[in-house]
Amino acid sequence: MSFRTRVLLAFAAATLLSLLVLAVGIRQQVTTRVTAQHERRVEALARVAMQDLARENADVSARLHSLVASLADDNRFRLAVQGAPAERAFLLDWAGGAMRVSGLSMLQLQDEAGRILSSGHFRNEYDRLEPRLPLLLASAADRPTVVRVRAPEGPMLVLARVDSTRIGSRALTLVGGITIDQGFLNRFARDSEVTVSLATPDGMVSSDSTPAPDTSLVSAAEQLAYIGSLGDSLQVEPARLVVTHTSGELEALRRDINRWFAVALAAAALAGLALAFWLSAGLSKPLAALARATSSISLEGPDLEIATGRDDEIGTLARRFGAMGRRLRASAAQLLDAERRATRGDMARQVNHDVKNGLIPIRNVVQHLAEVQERDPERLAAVFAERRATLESSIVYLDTLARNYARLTPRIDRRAFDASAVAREAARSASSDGVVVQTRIAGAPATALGDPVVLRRILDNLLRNAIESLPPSGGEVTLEMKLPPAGGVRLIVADTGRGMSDEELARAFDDFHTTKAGGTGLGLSVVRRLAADLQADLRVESAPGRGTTFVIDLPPASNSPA
Amino acid sequence: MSPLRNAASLGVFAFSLLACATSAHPNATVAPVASCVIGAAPRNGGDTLSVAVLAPVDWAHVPEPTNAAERLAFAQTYETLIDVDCDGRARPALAASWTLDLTRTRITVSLRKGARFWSGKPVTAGDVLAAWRETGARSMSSARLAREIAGGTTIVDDHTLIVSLPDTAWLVLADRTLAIYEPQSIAGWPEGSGPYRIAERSADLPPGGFMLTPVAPAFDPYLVSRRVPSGDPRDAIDAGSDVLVTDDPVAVSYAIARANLVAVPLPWTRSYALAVPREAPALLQPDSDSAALRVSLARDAVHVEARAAQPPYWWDACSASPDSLPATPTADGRSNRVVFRRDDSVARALAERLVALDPRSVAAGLSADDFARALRDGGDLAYVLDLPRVSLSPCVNVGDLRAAAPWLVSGGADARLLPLIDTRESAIVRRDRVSATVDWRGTLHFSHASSRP
Repeated sequence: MSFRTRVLLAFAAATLLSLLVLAVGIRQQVTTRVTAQHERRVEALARVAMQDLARENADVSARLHSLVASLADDNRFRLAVQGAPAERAFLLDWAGGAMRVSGLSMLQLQDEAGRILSSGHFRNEYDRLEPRLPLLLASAADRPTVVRVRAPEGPMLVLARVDSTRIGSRALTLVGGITIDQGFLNRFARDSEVTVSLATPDGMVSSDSTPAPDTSLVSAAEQLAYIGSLGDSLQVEPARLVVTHTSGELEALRRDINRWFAVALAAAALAGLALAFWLSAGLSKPLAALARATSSISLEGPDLEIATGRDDEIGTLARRFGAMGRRLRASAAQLLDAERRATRGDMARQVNHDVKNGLIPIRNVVQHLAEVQERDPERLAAVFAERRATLESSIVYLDTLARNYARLTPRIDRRAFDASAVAREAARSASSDGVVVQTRIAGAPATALGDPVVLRRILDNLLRNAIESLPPSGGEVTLEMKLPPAGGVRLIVADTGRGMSDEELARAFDDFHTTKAGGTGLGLSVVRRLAADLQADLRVESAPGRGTTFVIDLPPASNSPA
Repeated sequence: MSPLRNAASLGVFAFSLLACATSAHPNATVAPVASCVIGAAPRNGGDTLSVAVLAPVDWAHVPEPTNAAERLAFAQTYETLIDVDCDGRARPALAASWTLDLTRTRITVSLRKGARFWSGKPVTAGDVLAAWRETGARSMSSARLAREIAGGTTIVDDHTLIVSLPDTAWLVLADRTLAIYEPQSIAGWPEGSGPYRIAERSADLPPGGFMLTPVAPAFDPYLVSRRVPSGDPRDAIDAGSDVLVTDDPVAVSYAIARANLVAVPLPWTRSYALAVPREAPALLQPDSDSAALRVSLARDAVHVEARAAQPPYWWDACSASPDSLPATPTADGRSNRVVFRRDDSVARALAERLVALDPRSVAAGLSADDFARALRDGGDLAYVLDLPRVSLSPCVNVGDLRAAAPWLVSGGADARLLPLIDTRESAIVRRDRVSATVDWRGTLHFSHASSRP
């Protein structure tokens, strides 16, 4: 993940998280306050509904009282209640007319026995006995009382009151009221969201024909008296005036709040993302330019000025990078000069080393011939003949070496050659030091691509290192040659010497690194360079006390240039 | 108007008419019977009488009236073959004479000579049959009678036809359904042959009003009918109407208090009965209590002049055996409703009183169509029916009743028709200006130019 992406994500996360917390917090606060305000409003509406009911109740009383007052001067009514046959029809119709005039929707006139003399809401209910209704209504005093009265087409609920009067010798009661139906309750609602319901033991009537949803708020429930059962078993039961408020408006408000908060959050998030993108781009762009400039720094090339023109930290960093580059270039120049000088000494040591390698077989042969001359002079000629090849080989080696060094830079004579012959000669040459190098080399030629002299130098160095690594008690050095299926030649030089630690192994091919007293530290570094010249793979496996194994994979002859 | 009222718009004292129904002399000018005369004004040809009506008149309803105003208007303008007066006597109308055969189910009718439609076209036997066929082709329930009569009619010549009757109740020819008219008229209303014709300038009158011009203006007054906009008959009295027919006792009381007006009770023409599909309410069982209830209903429950229903009842007079009728079960289930037509205030009052006496029941006022449907189903507790007080042809009316409430005739022993009250209207007339006769339906006739009942 790029630095820019990380910066972008970090900015975005920080922005969105902050906005989310802010939005959720504000929304919660707003919702809580709106809900509380809504509930207070519903409670206020409920109180108003209760007051309306009380006012209607008092209004019914006032209308009944007015009717009673008007009866005192009505002579026809007096005749009718005294039983005048000619006025019977008038009496039967009286309640209907009085009910309409007084604005009531229920009115019945009863005598002292409870007999209905005239009924307005049920004109033909005359002569029915209902003595308990006036008594129960009187006992309710000013408390709003709902009565379930009979009407021709079914029962109806009435907010009823009772009044009484005396006409001559007759004690009369008037029970009157107004219908409690959907329209009546709807006047109490005063708000389309408010539903006023009257719940009685016999059922419920509501200002709204549709049932209230479960989410409705029940704000108040006023206890009323209810005279429900008809007939002789009239009794007072509890009823409730329930004010509910559908939460539709509140829910709509909440939805609006949520919607606008979501919109605001989305807008802020987009703005935050844009800002984060801009900031990350502003941060990463000079860094990327600095990286590009850094990648083009060359110790050998001309100075590269990293100029940002910025005064901030990025500009300071760029300037410091530039200064660091200049210092590095100066140090590199110094280092290069030192390396050149060291390389000359190294060359001298290598020449010395290579010459010594070429002289050692000659010295051994001469020493051998001297010993033969002293001990058995007669065999001198035979031994000389036997060792002549070694002498000639060493002389050829030294001659070639001399020619190579004469060209200062060794020239690789890349060609197809028999690696097995070079390997056998190197093993034989090394074995003359008193240590027998075990060879596992097939008799058939093994053709590889490269320079046989360079391979000989590689093998001489590796075999000598192997022999020198053996403890005084002796050990074993082997040179094995294999022919990999993929082509080429694999040479393996293994010893049973002391081996190397991981740290030693990591530095084994470094120049001037040696673990031997008096060592030059150039043997394996020369081997590394020569292997590279041959385009051969070189690897080593070693462990302390378990010896060391070098593997050289020479390229196949088919890779030779045409 | 209820199906039953449509079906049985007849009403006459059939049982008392049979004795006198033999033949009539075509040229006799029968003086109105004293009991059927209203008002003592001299014959007032050329005068104009203002007739108040409480309902609109639709001439498209010819020949069958659907309200009191149409009944009055059609009675002046469209004739039946015969008429029956308020005492039940047959009188010549479009028919000058008639003869019954021995079976009393075939009647040979001779049309009045000189009978003409308003256009001047003579009325022939073919016109009579064409009118009946036209009426019989309509969808109204009472068209059945016209179809039946038309199907049994043979034309002898232009002035003579023979009619085969459903039964011996030959006075059924006075049924308004059988009034004669010429449907193919260019005047905007069917042409009639009655003593009055519809005046062209009727269109100038306020909505619901009409003007009738006498065919014999030397003898008969002009009639201008105006509808009472408020529906209160007293407003018509105050406006100076000469004639008003009403069943409102308040209006009658108001008229009596006016010196120049006289209120004449008309015949008992309607009966209200309770049709009960199953077991009748205990209150209405035929015993002394039910008699007292009927009296109470007539006296206290309704706002019209009423009396306890009095037998005989025409629906008991028809000899048709219930076994001959297909059994029609009532609807499953039974409501507690006492059903009535909501536009009938008398039926409403009766239903409410019955409900007041039976705590388990409720009253239900239905529209005409809904009432007819409910009555046909028979799924309610009871139905308040408005029936003609008497019938010209009981079996015809029973057939109509059967069509309206199949269960009532064949629904079982518990299905009953319990008579409640009889009602009548009163004619309020200006005593010095009006002279009219009353027919068997309680309808006034203002013409004196011809033989009128």
